[in-house]
Amino acid sequence: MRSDLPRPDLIFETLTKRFGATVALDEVSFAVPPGAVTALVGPNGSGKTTLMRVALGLARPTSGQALVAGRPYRRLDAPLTRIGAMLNASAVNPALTGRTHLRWLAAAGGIDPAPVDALLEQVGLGSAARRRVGGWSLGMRQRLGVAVALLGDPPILMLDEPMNGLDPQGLVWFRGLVHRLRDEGRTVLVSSHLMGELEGLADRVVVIHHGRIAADADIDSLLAGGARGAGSDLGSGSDPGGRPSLEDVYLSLVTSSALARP
Amino acid sequence: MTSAVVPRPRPSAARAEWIKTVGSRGTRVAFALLAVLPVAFSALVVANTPSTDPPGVRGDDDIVANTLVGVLVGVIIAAVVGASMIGNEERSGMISTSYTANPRRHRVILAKASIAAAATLIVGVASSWGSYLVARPLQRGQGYVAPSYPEPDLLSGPPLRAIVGTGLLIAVVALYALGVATIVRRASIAIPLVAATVLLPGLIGGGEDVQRFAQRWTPFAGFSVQHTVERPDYYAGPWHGLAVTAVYAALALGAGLLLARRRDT
Repeated sequence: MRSDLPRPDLIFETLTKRFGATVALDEVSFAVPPGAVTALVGPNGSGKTTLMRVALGLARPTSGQALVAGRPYRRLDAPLTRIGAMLNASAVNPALTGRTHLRWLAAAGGIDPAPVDALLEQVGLGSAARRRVGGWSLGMRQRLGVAVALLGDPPILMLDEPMNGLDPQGLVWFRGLVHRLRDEGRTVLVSSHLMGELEGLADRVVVIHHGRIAADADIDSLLAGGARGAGSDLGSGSDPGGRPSLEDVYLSLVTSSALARP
Repeated sequence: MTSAVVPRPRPSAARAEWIKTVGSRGTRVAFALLAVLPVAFSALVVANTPSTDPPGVRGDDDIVANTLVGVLVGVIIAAVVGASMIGNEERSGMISTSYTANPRRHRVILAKASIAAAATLIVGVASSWGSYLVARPLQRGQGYVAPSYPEPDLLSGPPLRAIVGTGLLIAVVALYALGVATIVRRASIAIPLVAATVLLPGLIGGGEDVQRFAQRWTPFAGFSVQHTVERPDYYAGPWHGLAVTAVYAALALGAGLLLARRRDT
């Protein structure tokens, strides 16, 4: 990259992560640009969560690095104001209320706790905020996870499977929220194992499979390429206009890269 | 994206841990039990232990230590409190969020240690003081009275050391449990490990050599801080004993800090 161009906020540089003999990430390189929604897509176990854990300093890379605002996560000051993340939204001590969860996090991150109640309202948890998280549904926990990510008003957001457990109303709300965050110029990385739910949400798609990047493209060019290439021999799911669905392109990519793997 | 107008508060790992501690009903109940159960246990034991010394003869029972026997319950609750502070987070996965908010992991763990130590020390001193005040009249009723047993002067020397030291021991055990739980990552494993290593050496029995070793060099040594008299079966000085248990706590915490820094999650 030329140094006179603005650096993307979130960069993965030849990132490799091994767990014993298992290669979870294999020289993964890509950048997540600001002002766009980038989707990280791959089947279960493809390395999406590991990638995010490395970005957050929760797992150490075997080689390569992940840079947030130009630095490895563990060297960031006030990291919650740089990048907001949601990994496993159910990973909350069930004895705490949603409000207490955000309050301790604000204290730990050096964030003004005053907007906590407004934030809980914003994610639709106003009435549940003072109840213990242990009794919450998955969808409510996902909403709390989104609130956790937004707490520090960070320019980068990284959400792992944020749409799990959301009801149709929740999905509409989530799409609106993500588009607003993008339109504010933020960097948004969203992972999913369901290609279908990303249509109309993502601007860019990074497909990861067996820890490798199988595709990294605009959603439009991916669809166009899919029509020319592997997508055409799938056929069955294509709409009558000949344009394949995102799911078709994804399946063909995942299948072909599985075959290509030594 | 809008920033720089409002000055941000300083990050405070200690305040975060305090909010978690008082925000959890389980922890609040544990502190209430730590305040009450040792007193009740002391009262129960003392009220059923009559003096066997004939009147007029100078007795050799350690009457102050006997009123503080509730510490046996106290250290177990302290182990639960200390181990839960990190064990609950490891179990739920919330530790990831704690380390994300503060990637300097040693600060997260040391903040937990500060809160655990301060809170258990305050409640522990209160409960040992309460134990003495409640149990001593019951003890008098069992024949532990002058002239065999002159009334202890609470504000001088050994009795004061025993009462405050009991609170210190409870805090040290909470830190030991926090350290062990940081290493093994589960409260359900840490609590029995701590309870066993702190309590069992005193129950082994065996010969004089075994007892001497247990009182001087195992995590059980800390109970010596309750001693207020000279007895042939007391082998460790009060501060020596407490210091030995504190060294175990420091080793466990130190190992926990090193491991937490190195490993994933």
